[in-house]
Amino acid sequence: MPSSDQVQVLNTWLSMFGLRVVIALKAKGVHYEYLEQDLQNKSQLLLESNPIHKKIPVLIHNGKPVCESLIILKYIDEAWPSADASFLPKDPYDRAVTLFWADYIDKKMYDAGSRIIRSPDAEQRDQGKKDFIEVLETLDGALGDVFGGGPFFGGQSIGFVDIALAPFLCWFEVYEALGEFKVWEAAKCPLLSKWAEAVWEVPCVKEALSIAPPHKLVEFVQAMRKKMQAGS
Amino acid sequence: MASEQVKVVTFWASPYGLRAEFALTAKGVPYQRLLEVDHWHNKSKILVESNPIPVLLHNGKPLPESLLIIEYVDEVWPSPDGKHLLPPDPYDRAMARFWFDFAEKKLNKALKSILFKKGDVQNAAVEEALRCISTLEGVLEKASSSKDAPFFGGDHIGMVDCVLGPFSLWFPAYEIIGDFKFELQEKYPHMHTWYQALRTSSVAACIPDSDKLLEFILGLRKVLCRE
Repeated sequence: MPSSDQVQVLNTWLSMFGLRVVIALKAKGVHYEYLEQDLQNKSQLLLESNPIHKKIPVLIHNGKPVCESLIILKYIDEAWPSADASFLPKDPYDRAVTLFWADYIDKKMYDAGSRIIRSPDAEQRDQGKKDFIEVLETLDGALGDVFGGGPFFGGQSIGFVDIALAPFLCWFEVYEALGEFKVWEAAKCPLLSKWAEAVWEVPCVKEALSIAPPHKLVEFVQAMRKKMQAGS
Repeated sequence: MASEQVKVVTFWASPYGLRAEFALTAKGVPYQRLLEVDHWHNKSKILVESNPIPVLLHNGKPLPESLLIIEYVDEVWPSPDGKHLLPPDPYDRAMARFWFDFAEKKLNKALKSILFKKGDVQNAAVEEALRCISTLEGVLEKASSSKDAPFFGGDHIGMVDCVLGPFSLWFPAYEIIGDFKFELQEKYPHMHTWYQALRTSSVAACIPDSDKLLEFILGLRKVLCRE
């Protein structure tokens, strides 16, 4: 790709979906401009780039917007192809299996985590916690049975599922604070817990996740909850 | 390839299963249908919402999820006359993915609400479905679709057509259940051309009998509303 490529990322530090895009661009060595968005006061650029959903993240490549984080990941992989930094396996069946697990994370992880944060009562929060633990244990099983045991879902280097999952790690301290539990004590995940340590040390992941430090997320969520409780 | 075994586990009325069949048919891949008998009839709402079909079996290897199946089919089998389900250019692919994601997350969600719900919730779902149709009309208009290139894939069936086409077969049923009209011919001429073109294209052979399908869906609605 020519160095005259213009790449912008519209995101907010609060979005684990946006961090996926940042990891992916860093993994490919693509230079980009990061534009932090205020979702309470959406910018003209965001509204024009994603008129249908008006959501982040958005990748803008030479003026052309791409929306939805997993679609963006596929685009980045295809637009900047490289033999040694490919996010998806070569074999179509293995590729489909990888995409299946990325979809699983999208459908289950965010929802369960959200319920730990947003549930108005302890019963719903506990159910969110149970479901969250179940998702982690399922992913642990998949890492072993489907993805060869690790260290990463992509094998020796990070791939599509690693990029889709890693940003959620920033939010584990939030889930722990609000759910009153310790993730790796409650969930039986011998492989996934090792994965969590290993993936955080991958340079492009570490740099991307530094946008959303866990302790800052905890402070933010706790401040928001105080505001909401004071308001009601 | 001669000894290749391709099977689709499906249910005759399932629009999800039909997506897989549209993809295989558009690519000219011979396959065998394995029908699950009586999959939804008399089943509860929970089963309808979590149905595990379709599954593609390629030389014994199983692959669930209609959207994954379509992409897999496009990657594994060559496209006749270069007519891919997904275009070759990365940006065009991203746009096609965006629109079938839209069809699935927005339109399909609204259509499901029309089927499952009543009263104000159902009415809101009807409004949302029509907004989605209007958006898709705009997509076809922008792509200058015509009688010679009526599909989201242009002059041939593409992934968006595979995703959306089977659900469009349920439109007559949604109109009855939601007590409204899509008015494709009057208000959304490109969508109307698309709707007609599907029924004379290569995938028409997969389409179930419309009267039988209507009877099935209305029966399903009765079962869902009992709970």
